[in-house]
Amino acid sequence: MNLLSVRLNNVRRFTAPVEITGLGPGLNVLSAPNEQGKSTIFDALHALFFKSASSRDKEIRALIPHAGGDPEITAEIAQDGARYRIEKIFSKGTRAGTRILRDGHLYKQAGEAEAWLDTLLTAPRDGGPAGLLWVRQGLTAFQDAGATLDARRDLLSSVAGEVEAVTGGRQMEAIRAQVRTELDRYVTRTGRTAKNGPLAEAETQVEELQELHGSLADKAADLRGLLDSRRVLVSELDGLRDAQEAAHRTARLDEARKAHQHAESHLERLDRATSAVDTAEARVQRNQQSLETLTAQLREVMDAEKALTGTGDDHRDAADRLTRADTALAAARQAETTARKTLDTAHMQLDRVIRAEAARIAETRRAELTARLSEAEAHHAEAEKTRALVARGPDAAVMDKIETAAADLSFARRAREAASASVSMSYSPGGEGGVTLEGTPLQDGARLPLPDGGALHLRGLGELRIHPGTVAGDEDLQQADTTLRRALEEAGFSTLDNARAAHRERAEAKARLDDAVNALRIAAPDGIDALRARISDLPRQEPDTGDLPTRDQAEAELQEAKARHAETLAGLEKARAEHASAQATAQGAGAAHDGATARLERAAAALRDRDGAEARLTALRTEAAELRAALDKARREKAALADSAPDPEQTQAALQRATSAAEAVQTREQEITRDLAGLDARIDVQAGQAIEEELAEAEGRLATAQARLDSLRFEVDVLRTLDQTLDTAQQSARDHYIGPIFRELEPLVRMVWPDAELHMDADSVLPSRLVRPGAEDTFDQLSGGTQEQIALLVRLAFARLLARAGTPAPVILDDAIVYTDDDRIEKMFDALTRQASDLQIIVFSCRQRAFRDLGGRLLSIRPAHD
Amino acid sequence: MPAFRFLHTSDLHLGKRFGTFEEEIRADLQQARLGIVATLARTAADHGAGHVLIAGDSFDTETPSQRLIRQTLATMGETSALHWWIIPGNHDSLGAELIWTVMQAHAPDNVHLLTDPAPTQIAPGVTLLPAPCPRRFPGTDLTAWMDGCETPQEHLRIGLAHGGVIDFGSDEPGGDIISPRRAETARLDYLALGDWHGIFTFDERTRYSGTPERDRFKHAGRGGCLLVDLPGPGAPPLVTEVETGKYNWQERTLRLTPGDDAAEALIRLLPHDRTDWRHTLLKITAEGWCHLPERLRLSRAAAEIAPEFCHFDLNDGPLQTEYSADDLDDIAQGGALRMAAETLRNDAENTDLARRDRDVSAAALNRLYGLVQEAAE
Repeated sequence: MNLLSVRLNNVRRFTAPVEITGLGPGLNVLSAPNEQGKSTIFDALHALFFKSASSRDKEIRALIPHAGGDPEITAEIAQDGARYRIEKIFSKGTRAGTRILRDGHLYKQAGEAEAWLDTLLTAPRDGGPAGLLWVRQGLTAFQDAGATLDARRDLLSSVAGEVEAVTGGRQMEAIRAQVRTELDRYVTRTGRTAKNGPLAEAETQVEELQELHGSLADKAADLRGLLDSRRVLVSELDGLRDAQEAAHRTARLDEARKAHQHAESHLERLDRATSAVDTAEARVQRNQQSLETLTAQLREVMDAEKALTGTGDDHRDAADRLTRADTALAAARQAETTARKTLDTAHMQLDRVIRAEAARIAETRRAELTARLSEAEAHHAEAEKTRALVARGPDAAVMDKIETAAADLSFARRAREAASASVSMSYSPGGEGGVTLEGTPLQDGARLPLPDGGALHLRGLGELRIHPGTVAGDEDLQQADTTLRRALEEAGFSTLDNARAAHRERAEAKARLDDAVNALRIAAPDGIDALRARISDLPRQEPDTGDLPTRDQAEAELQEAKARHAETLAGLEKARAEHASAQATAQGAGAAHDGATARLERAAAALRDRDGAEARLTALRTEAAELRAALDKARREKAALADSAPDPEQTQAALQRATSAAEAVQTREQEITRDLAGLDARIDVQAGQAIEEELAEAEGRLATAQARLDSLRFEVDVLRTLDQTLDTAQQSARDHYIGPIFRELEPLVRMVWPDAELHMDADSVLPSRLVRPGAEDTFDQLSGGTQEQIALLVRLAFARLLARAGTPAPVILDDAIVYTDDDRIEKMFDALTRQASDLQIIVFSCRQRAFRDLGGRLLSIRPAHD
Repeated sequence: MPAFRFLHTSDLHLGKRFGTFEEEIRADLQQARLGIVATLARTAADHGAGHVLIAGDSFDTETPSQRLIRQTLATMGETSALHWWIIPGNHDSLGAELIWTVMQAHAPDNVHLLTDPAPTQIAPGVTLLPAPCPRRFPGTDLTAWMDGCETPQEHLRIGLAHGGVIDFGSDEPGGDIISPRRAETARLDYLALGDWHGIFTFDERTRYSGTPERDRFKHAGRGGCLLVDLPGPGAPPLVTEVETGKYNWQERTLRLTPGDDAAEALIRLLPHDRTDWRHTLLKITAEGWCHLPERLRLSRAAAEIAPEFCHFDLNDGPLQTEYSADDLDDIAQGGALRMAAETLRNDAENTDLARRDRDVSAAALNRLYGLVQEAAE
């Protein structure tokens, strides 16, 4: 859509018709001083497109001139290749109306015309800007009153309003806040139930009612159980108290009692029959015992008499045998005594022989030991004597030390001699022996050392003195000599030979001492004293001068005596045994005889009347027959009773059972009565509480509370869903919108600030920061002019978006860049010119000089010519 | 034989607590229920009836409080000339020993407890044949004995029983059906029945009195009883319905189609006598389809009038919302709000989603609409 002309009549200061004509695509500039009516034209355009002709709101009332009249606004536009004329008269009366003419012909009027205008200004379905460019700055629904006074802010606010229209803006935020507030009443941000909120209250109420219902259900079940128990008990009690049942129980008890009494009576008769049998049996038994006793007593008397006769004979035989045994025993004792004496004599004879032999052996031993003692004493004396010699003279160690020193001296001496001057003489023939040393001629050719020098006498020549000077080895020699002498002195000897002689003597004495000690050990291995003791220990006995047999003879005699003595001892023992046996037999026979006598006396005493015994025996046998007959009779009677006797245990059990049943019923009645009393008491307590009524009420309340809780949970889900859906939509709209805006805005920003980068806020989708080399400013930190310029560029970017969407709309700027300096305004003009290539931009400005350079189509407000 | 006049009532369900209602309403309903005995006494007096026959279920549970039983008996005893003839129903059967023990112990002379199925002369020339419920589910036709029960030829024969003559969909299982020909086969002049809470005439001699004070929406209107005149043996009874209930129970369906003025339709559905609203329990189920604005208007209208009723319940669950483009335009013509609205509408209509999720989305859309409208207002 392009605006082609505007005509006003009765609008504020324009009480006569004015018009702006010649508007076209691209830049259109109306540059006029203040108070020339630019804003009035702007407001009139706004009213034309956005207000109903019948409207009398504040904006419309503000258009009415002071003198009154109905504002008339007309605009011509080009749209989709056609030319439209829009006429609108704002009036309270019948003049009010809207007309649209297309290409000079009436096209729409009244409501249809208004609807056509709405369509013209409807926002694109995909969320493009709606009415952005037609809304006068400061009149959007989302601004505060203060902001409307600030043109710079208005410009951006207008953009902000458009962004809000897309993202939902403040309305969205208000709705979301309301949803959130409502949701907060129910749940926390983390999704938990909010404390003290309606949901928590409903949950608590459900829980409490569930608990109450559970408690009441338990109580009701308990009460129901009590009532059921009571019903069961009452039914049982009724059964127990049933008259027919009671009569049946009584009859059964009586019958059992009678049966048991009959059984007991029969049992008593049987007991008496049994007693009669027992009595008869006892009598028979006593008769039998008397009979047996009498028979036995009689037999005992006869047996005793017979036994007494027998024991008298035995007694006499035994007395004879004892007499014979006494004689034999005396003879055996005599023989043994004789044999024992002979044996003692043989022992004594042998002892004498042995003692004589021992005496002889002791003497021989004594002589031997005495000789060994003498020998030992001689060796002992020799040893003592040589032991003193052994202590003299150097021992082997000392001698070794001396010999070592002597060897060292000899070695030193020969070494010195080897190192010292020597002479040798080779005689000329005939001169042999002509040279002597200390009188001894030198051997021809022999080498004579002269370590100490000397004087050679040269025959016929004189004396040749040899001075050795200092010879190597003197000191060693001197030291060896000193060592030897010191060793000898320490050993107490003056010469080596003395020492060696003393050492030899010591060795010889030692050898002798060893010989003497060895000989002494042989003669007296345990020492001389032991040997002497052994000699003194040898017995001394006077020699038996009697005539003694040999030892063998003595021993033979002893053996013979022993055999004889053993033989007599055996005879003695045999006689003793025979005597003891005879003595015992005699005693036994005597005792048996005494016993037979006593037995006969006792049997006679027991039988008492020996003569009347037979008669008594006969009487007892007669009585026995009678008693057996009586016993048989009693047994027959008892058997008859026993055969017909009822089972007392059975009747007793039957009676016991009947009694028990009756007692059980009685006991059960008492129990039930007691239990019923208890149940009634408990039922009375609970029944007074109307538990089932309360339970029914609790069930209802619980169902209602649960329904309310379900409803609140549904409500929470609804609010959550709404909140999340709004959030998602808002975010999506921002994402959808910010990219295209940015792409449109970027080249415009670079035209004005080549090195700058403009950032948009992700939430508000509005400029937030301007980053320039060395500086980064938030939008609020920017100067008023820069804010104004950015706002204008954003607006132009929106306009371009609208144009690209196929619904181009004019951009109307009312003193939009009044704070922009002259340098920057040139760049802004460039930006406007760039955007005007496919947009209609209408600029109202009071800065006539500055905007003269903007170019474009210059407009003016002129009186209208109808 | 003079004519015999009596009140036939049943199902007093004294002690019923109405737990599903809010506390304030609950108290009112309980109070009204407790007052029904006095109301019946007054009704009898007003209509010159000397006898009240209660066909069972005097009490709601088998274990009412002694206080309730005793106060009921005391109220009945206040007018000694009025005789109350009571049989146990299924709710207060003879198995509920507590009730009958206390009743028997404290019943005044004019209160007669009929606990045995035996003929009882209740007035000169009038024999009552009671069929007390021995237990909650008797499992048999308790009136069968009446066929063989002989009474003097000139006596009126009135049967008193509790249970279904046909399967009403009684509130208790078991279906102990009373023979629909019992009045005929037992030669009854009138068979006074209880169990069904609404007044119901099976035939001219067989009737249900319904509860004197309604207790559920199933039976619309106020409770009442039957004023019965028996001119003489074999003569048809003259029966008059007498309203006794204080509260008016109404359940209605609001059927809407898109374009209906839902608020107006709701108002049209309300009882005309506005002065009676405070004693009216109204349950409205909205069905059909409507647009978002109508739904909003409906809920606002319901919220506006609800406080005037004793109880007002609008169940709009079955009411479906039809979303038009204009509805969504009312939310926003474009931008994020419009996008959110369309998302919610799509989810609400997406049959691939679970029913509850669709309901949540639909409700969310309704809410969004309401919020936008509120903001606009």
